[in-house]
Amino acid sequence: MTERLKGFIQSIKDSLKEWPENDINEAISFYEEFIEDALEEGLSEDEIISRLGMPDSIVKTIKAESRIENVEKRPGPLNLLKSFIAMPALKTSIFIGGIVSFLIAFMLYALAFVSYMGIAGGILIAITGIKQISPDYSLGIIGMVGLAFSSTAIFGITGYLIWKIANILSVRTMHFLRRGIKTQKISLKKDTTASVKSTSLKSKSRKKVITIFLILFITGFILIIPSGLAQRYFSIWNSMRPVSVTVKKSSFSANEIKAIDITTMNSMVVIERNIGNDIQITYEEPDWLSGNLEKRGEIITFKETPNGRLPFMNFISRHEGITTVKVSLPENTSVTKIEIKSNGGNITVKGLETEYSISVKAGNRKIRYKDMLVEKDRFERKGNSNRVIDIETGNGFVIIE
Amino acid sequence: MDIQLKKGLLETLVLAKLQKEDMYGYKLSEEINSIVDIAETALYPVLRRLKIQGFLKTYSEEHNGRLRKYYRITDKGRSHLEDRVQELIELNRIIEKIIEGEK
Repeated sequence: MTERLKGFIQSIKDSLKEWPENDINEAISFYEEFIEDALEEGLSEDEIISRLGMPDSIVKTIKAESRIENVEKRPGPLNLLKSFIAMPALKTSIFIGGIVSFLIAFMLYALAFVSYMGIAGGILIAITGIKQISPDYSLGIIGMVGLAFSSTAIFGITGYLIWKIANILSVRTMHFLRRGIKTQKISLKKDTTASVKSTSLKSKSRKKVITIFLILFITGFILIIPSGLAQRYFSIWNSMRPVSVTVKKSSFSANEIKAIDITTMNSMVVIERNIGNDIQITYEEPDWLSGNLEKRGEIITFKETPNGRLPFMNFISRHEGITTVKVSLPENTSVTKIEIKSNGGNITVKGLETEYSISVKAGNRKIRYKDMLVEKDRFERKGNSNRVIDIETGNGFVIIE
Repeated sequence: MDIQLKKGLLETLVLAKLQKEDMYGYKLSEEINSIVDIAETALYPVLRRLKIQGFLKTYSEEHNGRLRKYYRITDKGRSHLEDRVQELIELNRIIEKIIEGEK
């Protein structure tokens, strides 16, 4: 081989320096062999070089092809980024088209990643939920496991499919960029044989993954149903009446009580007058809450707490309940102080506002006094005695009639 | 001749040539150049891709004190070629109809 041809090969070699050695060797040996065979056939140096083209256009093609192969073989955000950056200079129009689809592919990868994070979130929620459910309600615990399964399946399949779409788009992006390399006499359009082969191969594994996720989802779903968690949450969320309630009634003589202290999660509280002689307290207890009524000396305390059937009760109880704690007071009573607190329940006070001083703390525009909306989160009204009612609710309405 | 070889036609041509006999790079280039005018720059990537797809394999033989790389079509390559040829026959039938219509 002459010095000139050796220089030709050497300049290809130099430009490919950072490339994997196998790739370089394979390419170089192809061109070396070509030159040697051509010389044997009696071609002149000039003829050979004109047939091969410029070394830098050879290098460009090899580099681009190897980049496209990389993305085809292992599509993913990193490979796409690396290959995209390493693509040789392209026509502006091709580059702009390429960068748009490149950015979309990247966004899809990010979206898939977020979806995969959702799996962790779902599992975390299920674990936290299981910790909050009392061991008596094993169906609830199983239901939470089911929730973990289902959410894993949903987030998994979403992430997986988005990732696959991003992969297809990455390969397409690279194929599109290949069009822009103006070094070949014949422009090779996108290689359908390669993509047909790879997609048909992948679709087998895709079916498998989808089947696995589907089984996981159905299993999870079956586990959730008997727990009744879904229905209960649904009914609380929409302030629907529970299917069954236990009604608890207590009465106290009008003069033995000085103070009443009521705390609820999301049951409503109603304070009203009665025509009898006793203080009466009625509570409709839903199956996910416990109401505890206690009389200590001259004070009655009622406290509503979750019973461990539903997790995340503090969060859920921000929603108005439809079950009620009703306190009715006779005309002449020794009760001088009533304190009511609720997380999410509505609180209604009927026919007591002339006698009792009322102090309310609730959300903005959540207080109604005699059919008028109070445009503040506080309401104070003096009664004609030193008796007081203190009201505080997190998310419910306060109605004074 | 200004021929736009599209959608892997060059791949098909390479496989068709290799079906007759195993060939080394230069020979293959000569054979193909007798049909279409292409640059070697285009041939190498095509051979590489066909190899990756498993449509052809390579082996080396000694020639004048150096190794020469030969390309041989695989069974997979043959069946792929058959499919492609069927497609081309179909395409050809359509083209003939078009030309007939022109006359």
